[in-house]
Amino acid sequence: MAKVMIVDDDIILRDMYAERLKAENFDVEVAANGEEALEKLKTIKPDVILLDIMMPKVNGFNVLDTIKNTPETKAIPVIMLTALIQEDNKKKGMASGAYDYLAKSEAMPAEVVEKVKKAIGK
Amino acid sequence: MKLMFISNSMLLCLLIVIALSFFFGFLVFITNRGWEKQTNRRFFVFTIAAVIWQITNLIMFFNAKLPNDLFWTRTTYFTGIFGAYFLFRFISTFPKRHLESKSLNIAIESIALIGTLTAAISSMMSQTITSVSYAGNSRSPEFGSMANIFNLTLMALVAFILSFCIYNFKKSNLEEKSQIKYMLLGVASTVLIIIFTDVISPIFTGSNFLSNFDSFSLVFLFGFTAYSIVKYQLFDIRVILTETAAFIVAFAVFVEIFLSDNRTQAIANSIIFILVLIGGYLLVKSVNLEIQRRKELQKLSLQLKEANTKLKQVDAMKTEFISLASHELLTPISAIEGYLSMMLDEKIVKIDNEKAVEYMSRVYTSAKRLARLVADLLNVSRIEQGRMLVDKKEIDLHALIDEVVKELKFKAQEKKHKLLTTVRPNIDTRTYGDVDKVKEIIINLTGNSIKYTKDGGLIGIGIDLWPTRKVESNFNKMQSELKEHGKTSEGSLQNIVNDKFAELIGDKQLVVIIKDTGIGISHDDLGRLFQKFSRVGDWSTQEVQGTGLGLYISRALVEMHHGRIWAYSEGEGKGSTFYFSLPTVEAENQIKQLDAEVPVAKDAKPMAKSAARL
Repeated sequence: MAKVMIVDDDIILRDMYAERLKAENFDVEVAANGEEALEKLKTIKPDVILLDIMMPKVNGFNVLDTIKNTPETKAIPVIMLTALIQEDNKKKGMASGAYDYLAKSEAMPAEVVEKVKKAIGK
Repeated sequence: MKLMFISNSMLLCLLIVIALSFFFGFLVFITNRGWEKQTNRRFFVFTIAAVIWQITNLIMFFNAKLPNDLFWTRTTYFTGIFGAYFLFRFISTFPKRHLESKSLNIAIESIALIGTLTAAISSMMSQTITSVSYAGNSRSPEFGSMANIFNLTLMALVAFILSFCIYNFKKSNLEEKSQIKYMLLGVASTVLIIIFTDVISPIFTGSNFLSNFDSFSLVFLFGFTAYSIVKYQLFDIRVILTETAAFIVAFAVFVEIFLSDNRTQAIANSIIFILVLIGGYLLVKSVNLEIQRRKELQKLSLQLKEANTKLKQVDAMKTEFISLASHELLTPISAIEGYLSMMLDEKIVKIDNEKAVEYMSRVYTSAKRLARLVADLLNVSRIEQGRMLVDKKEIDLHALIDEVVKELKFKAQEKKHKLLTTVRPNIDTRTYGDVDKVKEIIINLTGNSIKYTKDGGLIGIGIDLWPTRKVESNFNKMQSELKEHGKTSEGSLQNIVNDKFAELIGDKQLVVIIKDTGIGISHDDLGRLFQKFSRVGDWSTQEVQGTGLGLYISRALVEMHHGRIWAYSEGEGKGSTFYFSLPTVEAENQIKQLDAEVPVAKDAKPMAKSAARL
């Protein structure tokens, strides 16, 4: 069973994506902020990470940088899943090594699941 | 007689120094609510200590060779060490306290205080100054066994003063630095002269004659400090000097009264003194008025500065607010959309009630529309405030249109529309612009055509090359018709973006034409099309809904590309044609030139990606 980590400070959205992923038999791990995510990544190795950007403590871009600069986590595909819709944020995320960049208001949970499947399948 | 002359001039010198010291100390204390600042308070205390020292100097001078001579000599040393102590206290906080370690500060101040008190007590004891002897008129105190305590303390205080000068100077910012520079010059001159007259000269010459003049050195300190104050508290130096001069002259004349040889001279001097006093008073009064005026001006300019800073903050906050608000709005909207999409997904939830499904899908559509509106508003606010970044490169319009057609194919097929691209043969379809934004324009216009055309329609996208004059006349025709019919609100004929962006370049323009067989636009509505929140026709009968910002944004984006946008329709039900022009690729250099003249907002950002259009 593939494991997905959801990093988001909004509990409703976190639950939403978690439920949708569980419905497709994914093993889901959640983190409420960047700091928690980095801490959990020391012991857990998810197959995909869904990462929000605007979060308290450590923001998504910093988390992404840390993941991509740590040999143990470098290979994990990270899908940015954020409310930020400006093109420059997408460019920044992709340049930092994100696998994909999805706007929450645009990509519905079903589409997010598709992207997760695609990321694992590659 | 000669001796008397020297004495008089020395006396006058001393009095002037006293007057100056007191005057500047008081000035610093009372101006700009100076007493509220520790530095200014300490400066004031120091000037008082210095004045007392000078007064004892004066008394000592008068008591030369008299029975009290020894007592006043000791007293002068007594007050002198306090002068040095209070100078140290002032310097340690000038221009502000930079040494932050509390324990270190307490340690230094305790050492200085204990040393000073010990030295002060010792200076009054017979073991320090045993007697005063004279070689002619030069005074020479005989030092006893305890003199070293006094000298050591003085040296320590001087060392503290110099160290604080250097330390505070290093830690200061630029303005404080230049303030200290003057102060430093004054302190250095004063301290060096005192060391020379009181320590070095007696050691090497064995005569204490020069120590009679040591207190004059303070003129340097007060002179430079005054300049530093004047310069940084924004007083006019001429005003201060007038005031000082009047004060000194009055004081000097006042002293003259007591130095008069006989009664007649004393009366004459008194009259002169009164006249000087009256003149001085009038002068100082007018000067005070001047200072007051300056103070008010200074206050006003300060308020203006503050207001300006606040304004900038508000502006930055507004900008920040729009970005934050859109993020904050989109998060709950995303939850609404997401959960609804899951409820409508039969794989996740099964809902038997058809009505419920229908209502939910309507809520879903509305949420989608809301998300799009937020994205559009974000873009509009950026465009209007000139905070939209453009990243222009050479792009091929033909290839770009093919790309858009591919992307919209599915949507067109849903409504059984035919999408047809026609490009005038043998023309160069390259332009110079921001590929994302030009694409946004084409998607907007083509998307509209798909939306507003009944199923099974034909939508043509063409590229043509027109003379600039033809573009202008077509655009102007629409504009002038709008003006004539008064169908436009004030300002809608003006450019949304900077005029430099909107300037047409070259004698040929590439024109993109999007023509449909749709519901058309009534003549009256043509003008309102490119305005904010414009939607044409009868809203209630329309199945499709937009944000009313799509065409407004398109117009702004076209303007940012030195282009024009306009529409034409034979009337309702007769289809509509949208035109927009872009410069040819030859205009690249001119585009770069003109765009460089547009001021760029500091926080300019690229466009927000609109949520997927329905």
